[in-house]
Amino acid sequence: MLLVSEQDLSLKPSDIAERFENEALPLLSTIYAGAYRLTQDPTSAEDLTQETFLKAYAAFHQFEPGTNIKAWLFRIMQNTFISQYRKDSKAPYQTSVDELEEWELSALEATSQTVLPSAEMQALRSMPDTVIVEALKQLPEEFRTPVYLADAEGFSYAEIAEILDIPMGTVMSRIHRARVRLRGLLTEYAREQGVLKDE
Amino acid sequence: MNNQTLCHWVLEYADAYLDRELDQASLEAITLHLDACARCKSHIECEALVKESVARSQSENIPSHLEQRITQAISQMRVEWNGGVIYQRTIKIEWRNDD
Repeated sequence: MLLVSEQDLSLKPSDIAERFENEALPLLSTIYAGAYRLTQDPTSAEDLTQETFLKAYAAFHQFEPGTNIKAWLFRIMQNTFISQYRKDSKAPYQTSVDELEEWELSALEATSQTVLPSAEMQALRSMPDTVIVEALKQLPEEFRTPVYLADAEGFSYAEIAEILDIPMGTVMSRIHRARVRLRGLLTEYAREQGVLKDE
Repeated sequence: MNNQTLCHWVLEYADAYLDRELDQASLEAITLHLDACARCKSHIECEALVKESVARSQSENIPSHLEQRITQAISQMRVEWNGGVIYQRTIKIEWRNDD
């Protein structure tokens, strides 16, 4: 008698390759933009993008079809970034998290007391992109990434929690504090430019 | 809740409100409060503008050579993979004598 034991014929390497090309590769520029945000440097962003895609390809048989591939790729990228790039720099991420609140809240208080809301809104509306990019760069990475994933990529808090491997409550508080600080930085710029004047 | 506590609560959840992450009851409570409180309303409007700013600031263009570099790296990997993994995935044929 002939017994044929097969090891999942539905997952032939050629099928995986085709699915990867159709589902993952179209997200290349999205992942590159994310990598750029994380690394703040074009060369590192290229390397991180390539590493993310190679890892994703090697693990693609584990990806469950029909689930969120964009979130899956971002998660791989985040893990790669943490293990690879973060250890290279000695940036004191941990201390920055705790120090943020006092500073940002007092800045916001100062702004809302001395500036007309309508004037602030007008200044925010006409803010040049380059200034926004610079302000984002000034945020500690733990704050920049959640706010970027929410605002630029449209991920939900649950997806961001999954990608960054942090609790939902932490996602919410980091986004909250990131926006408050961004707002402080942007209005500060508007003030310096004379667009915003104290009453 | 008195007004000040309510304002504090609204400001704390302003971002979850903007990101549509609140349950229906909280959403309605905040919407109701915003109609009555100009200070909170302008705060949320400014936060919304900050959110829009981040969304529209995304402008890095992917370098033209990167796609080729990655597809090339993947195709090289595929050859290795075919050489290795496909071998393990070959159908095993076993003969068994039942008689």
